[in-house]
Amino acid sequence: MSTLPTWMFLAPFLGALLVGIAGWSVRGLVRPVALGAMALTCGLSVAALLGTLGGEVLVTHMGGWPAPLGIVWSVDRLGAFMSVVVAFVSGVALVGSRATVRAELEGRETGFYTCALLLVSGLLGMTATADLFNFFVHLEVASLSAYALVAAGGRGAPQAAMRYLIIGSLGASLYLLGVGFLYADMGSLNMRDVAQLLPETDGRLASLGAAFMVVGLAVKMGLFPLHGWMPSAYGRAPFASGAMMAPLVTKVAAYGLVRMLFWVFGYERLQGGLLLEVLCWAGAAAMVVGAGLAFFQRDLLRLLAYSSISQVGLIALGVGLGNVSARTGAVLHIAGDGLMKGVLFLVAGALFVRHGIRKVDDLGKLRGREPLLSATVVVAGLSLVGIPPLVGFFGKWYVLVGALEAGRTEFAALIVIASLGTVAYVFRVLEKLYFAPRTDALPPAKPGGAMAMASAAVLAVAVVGLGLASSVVVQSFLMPAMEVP
Amino acid sequence: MMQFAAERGPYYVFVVLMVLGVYLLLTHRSLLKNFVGLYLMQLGIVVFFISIAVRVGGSIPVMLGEGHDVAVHNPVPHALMVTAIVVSVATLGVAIAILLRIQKQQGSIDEDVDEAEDPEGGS
Repeated sequence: MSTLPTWMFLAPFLGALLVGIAGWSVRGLVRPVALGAMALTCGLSVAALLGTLGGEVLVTHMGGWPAPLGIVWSVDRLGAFMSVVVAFVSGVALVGSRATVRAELEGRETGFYTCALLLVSGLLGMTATADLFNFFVHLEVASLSAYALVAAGGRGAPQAAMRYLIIGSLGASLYLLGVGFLYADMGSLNMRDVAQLLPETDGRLASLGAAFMVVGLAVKMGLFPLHGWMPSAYGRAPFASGAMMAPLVTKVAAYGLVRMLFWVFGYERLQGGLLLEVLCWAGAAAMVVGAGLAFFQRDLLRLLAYSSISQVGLIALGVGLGNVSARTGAVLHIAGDGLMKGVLFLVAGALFVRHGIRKVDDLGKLRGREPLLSATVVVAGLSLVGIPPLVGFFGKWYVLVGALEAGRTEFAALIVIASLGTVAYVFRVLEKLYFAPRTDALPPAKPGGAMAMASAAVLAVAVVGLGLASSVVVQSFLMPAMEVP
Repeated sequence: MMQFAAERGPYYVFVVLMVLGVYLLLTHRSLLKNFVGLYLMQLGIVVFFISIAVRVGGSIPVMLGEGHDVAVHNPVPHALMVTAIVVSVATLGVAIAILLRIQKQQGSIDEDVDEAEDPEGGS
């Protein structure tokens, strides 16, 4: 028994409480306390990763009660990998949020840092829990923080947040209803226990429950055609909030889908069934439609939102195909898109702080004045397109290999078509950054945003690094992690 | 017929609450009414969980020592639903806070603001 799985999400949770106390007494301590809690969280998740490298599973039995009676937290290799991604991306985004918080959330720092830490706590709880109901609770902790983070924005943001809240809570309710069906059938909520009891049931109630749970998670991960909340929520959120939530909220819901499908329901039972087929087609449609719509967005953040819809589609396709290559690709792409979107949202924030730019067309006015930011956009953009050796290529590659292994050439073709769409919208941005005709110049850059630029650069380096290391990471870590015991 | 209704009663309550909730969610433009629909749905799910806890002829789940083998209602769904109610109350709180913010910005919570980008790019 190890208490690490619980400390991982308790660290940011306690940090959020301390931030609240600091905001009430010593305002100057808010940011240091938040960063300290985040650093501790990163350390704990790295410790969890090191502890699971050899295939061990860290398990906490709450109150010493054994499963399935007691509530269990467990972190295996996959969970540890996700935790490190969540802690790293959100930690770097939090470091880079100083200028954007000052620009848009002046005087509301306490609320921002509290919600940001609660968001991280919810996401880490989702990666560490081994209980279907606790997954719901953590999903809601993360989601409620995300609604608040979006609502803090300016004009139009509260409406976007309210729509996000209604659609998101609907998704969570459907998930909970699905858990209810499973519980009515088997009388257990422990993931491993449910997986063992499932073959003994007639499967009708369980299938219904599985369908509700998958639809609920699909809403939370913004899977086409349930993506309606994403463009306005991402487009209206303050930049600081966007950098915290946009790279991670949908990705951890996608992780939940992986966990439910392969660890609870079991791939062998689902293989060839309607559920995975629908998931594949929804994912493929999301890839193509998302990439296509991203091209027509004028607002930079809405472009990123449609890009996320497209990338989530690729992840869903990999999950739906379900063989080891495809699901490994999906998990690698969860990490990869988290890093890429982290870079791009931080860059968007820095550009807004320094130049007041929100529109794609206005990028041309920079005229090469932000070499570092432009370079990070190139790295993240080429990774989105899928240029080796960046991480985006490898996620896409393994899903593609999985599609060919499964004999589904139509999905392989759709991945290529979606990549062409991605080329179109990424090069629209790069063309504005590097080749735009000379227009009226911008006033000189406002100071600030140095931390945001440094954070974006760190994540861009991680995009390159994870890409270069991907063969080692996949062969010796992710592939074995995706083998369901 | 009466017995059938008595046995399935909680399920009818569940179905009616869910249908009402979905109706309010889908047919109204007002965010407040959508939220009321959502809340009814969540209540329906609570009723569903509670109804699956019932044992015929069951009593309260208190063990009165050895040899007391009366069927008891399953206490776990009740415990789960207390948590789910807390979650939905938290959601209610966040929703009301957001609606207040909308009213402060717009003067009304019913005003249907542009979904598309506005010309000056927001904020």
